[in-house]
Amino acid sequence: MDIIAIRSDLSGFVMLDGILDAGPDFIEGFKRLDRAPLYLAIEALAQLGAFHVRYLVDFQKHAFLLGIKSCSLPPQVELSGNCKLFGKLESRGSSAFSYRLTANLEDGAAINGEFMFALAEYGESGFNRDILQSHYRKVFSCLKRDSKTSC
Amino acid sequence: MDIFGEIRESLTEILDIDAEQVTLETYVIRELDAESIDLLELSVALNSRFKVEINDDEIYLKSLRTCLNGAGANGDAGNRILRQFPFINGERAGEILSDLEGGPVLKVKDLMSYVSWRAGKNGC
Repeated sequence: MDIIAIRSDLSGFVMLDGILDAGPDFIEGFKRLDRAPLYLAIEALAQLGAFHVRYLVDFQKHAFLLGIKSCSLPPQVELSGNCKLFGKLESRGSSAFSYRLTANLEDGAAINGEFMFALAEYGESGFNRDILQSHYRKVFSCLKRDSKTSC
Repeated sequence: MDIFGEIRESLTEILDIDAEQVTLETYVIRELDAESIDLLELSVALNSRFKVEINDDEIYLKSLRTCLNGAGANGDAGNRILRQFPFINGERAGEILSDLEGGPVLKVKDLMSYVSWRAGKNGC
């Protein structure tokens, strides 16, 4: 079997530096960006939303991005600076969730979109509970407890 | 807009179909080809429009066949449906039982019944 190695130069591909707060219908985090292409900021928003979904179900199920219904982007090609991330849960079913996710940079650049997430049972489609459940719980805890170090 | 209108609008947006294709008697999966990913999106849309809790297992009758496993022919099957899906009435339960071999039985009117039932529970 051939093995394809993908080098993203991103440690663990956690696009969040910290989670500042989370409640039943919101989550707030941040990410320091350095000449980051827009898609990485969108990825940061997607990760923030997925973490909130997992938080809501106490990490008992796997959460994944179902789709982006709409998203407004700034004119810049690359983003730099401290980026505040905010997610508001707007509506949900028992297995799907719709969020308004926003990223705001110090220079006024902003990304604002409607993201949809869904839940899957661990064990379905290769989502290994033993690996993923503890991994996401650990990363979430790390991001919440000590936002100054990367997780 | 009434409940049916709201549900029809949600279905037409998510499935990219014409409103004329959606009637109370339309089968959601058999005729409109709704897939599981569409139903996930529909749950969110219905929650947003009606502000009621949407339980996917209930509204899409997902556990119907499991609930009927081992049911006898003495009316037990119908009673099981009524117990499992309290928003389904006796007449509809009979329709469902006679329609099982045709495939997924979920109709638009079942979505309506669920939303109405949930809204009633919320005191709306």
